[in-house]
Amino acid sequence: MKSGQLSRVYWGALIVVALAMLVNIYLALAWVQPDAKQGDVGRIFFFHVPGAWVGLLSFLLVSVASIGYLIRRTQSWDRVAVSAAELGVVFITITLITGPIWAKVAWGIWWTWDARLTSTLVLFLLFCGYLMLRRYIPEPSTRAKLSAVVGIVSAVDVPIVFFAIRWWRTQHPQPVIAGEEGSGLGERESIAFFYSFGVFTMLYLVLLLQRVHLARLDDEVEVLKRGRTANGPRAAHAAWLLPFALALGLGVGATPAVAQEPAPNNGSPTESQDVAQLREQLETELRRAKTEADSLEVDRAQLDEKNSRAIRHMMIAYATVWGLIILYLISVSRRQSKLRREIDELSGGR
Amino acid sequence: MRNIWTILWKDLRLEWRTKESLSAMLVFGLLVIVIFNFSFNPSPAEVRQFGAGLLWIAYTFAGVLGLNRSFAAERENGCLQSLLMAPIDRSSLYLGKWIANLVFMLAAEAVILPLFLLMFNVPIGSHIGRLVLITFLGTLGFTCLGTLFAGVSMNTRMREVLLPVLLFPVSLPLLLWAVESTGAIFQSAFLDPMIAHGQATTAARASDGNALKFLVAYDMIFGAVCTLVFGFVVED
Repeated sequence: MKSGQLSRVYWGALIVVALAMLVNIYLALAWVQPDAKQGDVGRIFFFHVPGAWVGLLSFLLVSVASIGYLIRRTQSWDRVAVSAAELGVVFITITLITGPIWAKVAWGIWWTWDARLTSTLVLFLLFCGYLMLRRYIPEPSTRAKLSAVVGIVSAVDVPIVFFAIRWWRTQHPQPVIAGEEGSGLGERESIAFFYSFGVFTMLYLVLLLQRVHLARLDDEVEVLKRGRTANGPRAAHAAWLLPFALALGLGVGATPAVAQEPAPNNGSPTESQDVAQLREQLETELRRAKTEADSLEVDRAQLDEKNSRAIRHMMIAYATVWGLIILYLISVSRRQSKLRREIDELSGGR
Repeated sequence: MRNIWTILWKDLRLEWRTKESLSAMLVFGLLVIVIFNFSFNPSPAEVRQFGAGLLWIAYTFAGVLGLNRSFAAERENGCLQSLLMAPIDRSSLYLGKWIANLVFMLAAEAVILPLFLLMFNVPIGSHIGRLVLITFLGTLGFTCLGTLFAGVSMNTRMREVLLPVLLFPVSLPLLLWAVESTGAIFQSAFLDPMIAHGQATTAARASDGNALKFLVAYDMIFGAVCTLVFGFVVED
């Protein structure tokens, strides 16, 4: 693929994804009603679950690309594998961070060794091992070959891991789609949910394209360093970060739209001054009413506290998701420009 | 078959002459047990509960030490090149290495296990056969993956660090099952005398589910997969 073509296709895709993401943020944070049981913190769901899905998708891609490499022995398969693995780490990190933030509100604990949490963590560790291995092998074709072997062995292992860990009692919510009875989504929720699945997948593909491009630059530098011929420098497009920054900014701006609980409206019963009668029964009644009102107030305060904590948690989770994705984009762009400089130097000095 | 035997015999003789990795494995395995004792000072009830996990930690940590050495000699003296030039199948090379590693690890376990049972007073009694079987199956699967990953990490700069990082997550289901069934055996071993004296009922025994079957299945799956892909690891 020519660099100019990539650039044009890429820009188009990027703009579409950025716009779609804006819509997604609006849907998830404002359009959907707060969950009946979980309240606003349930909105994490629209980032958490697609993150996990994309993580699994990466894993699938790594194994397919590994097999592809061992059959074809072309570097492009390896580029897909490494890109998918790195993105997998990013998205699984998102899932692993937003999950505990949600769990602290919903379950009262940050972490539990539940089946799905544990398997996700193991998946994360497998990806980490894979990426570490790659870092320690300098020679590209050896690197590709060995990491493909590890990729395939892990691919066989992951279903076994999931199955083995299912033995532990699972605390995780049942799958909402095709899950057990009464776990379905409302109409708006399911629209927003599937929409965010789609958008995350699109975001993933765009990022993958970018990461594969980075891998190609990497290979180019490798080739240049060995003194062979290479193409000219690629067109710079570092400004592609902009739409995402915009998305974040607008997203943060949109969050106040999160529905707030109505103000407390159960005023404490006014104390009767009619004590002159000093009737015992009335006093007991009064005392009881008072304690009831007190406990009600405590309840209300707790509820308010809980709700504001939920919103706080949701905001933190949300910021984490976008912070991570944007950090990752910055890192990819920095690495790209570094490689481009290197390519310039190497081909100029020749 | 003869080729496998040749490779195996070579490794065994080499180890017999130096006793390098075996002694390291043994000392390390015992150290894990000693550290466990110092850090928890466990009562019999606690040994019953956590002993299986500890035993497998000792096994696997010692095993990683041995596996790390498994390709070291081949690499340092350029022996691997000669091995690859020899007219033998890559899978024979793998199987020979695998069995050699299995033998080393079992040898280390043959010392660690009795000492563990002795030092923590596990009344193992007639359950010893089942315990040995589980130990064997677990070690079989662990060395199967371990040999492959030792071959992979041999090519890298951070060999010693990388092997456990790759090996432990992948062998997690294996360890889970092994620990679970070892734990069930320990439970019955401790409870049997109590049941005989009417202090406990058979209902208190833990079941190991189908761990044994799964261990066999796991060993078979990865035995096949690793033998198939090992050729890619050593090719040039």
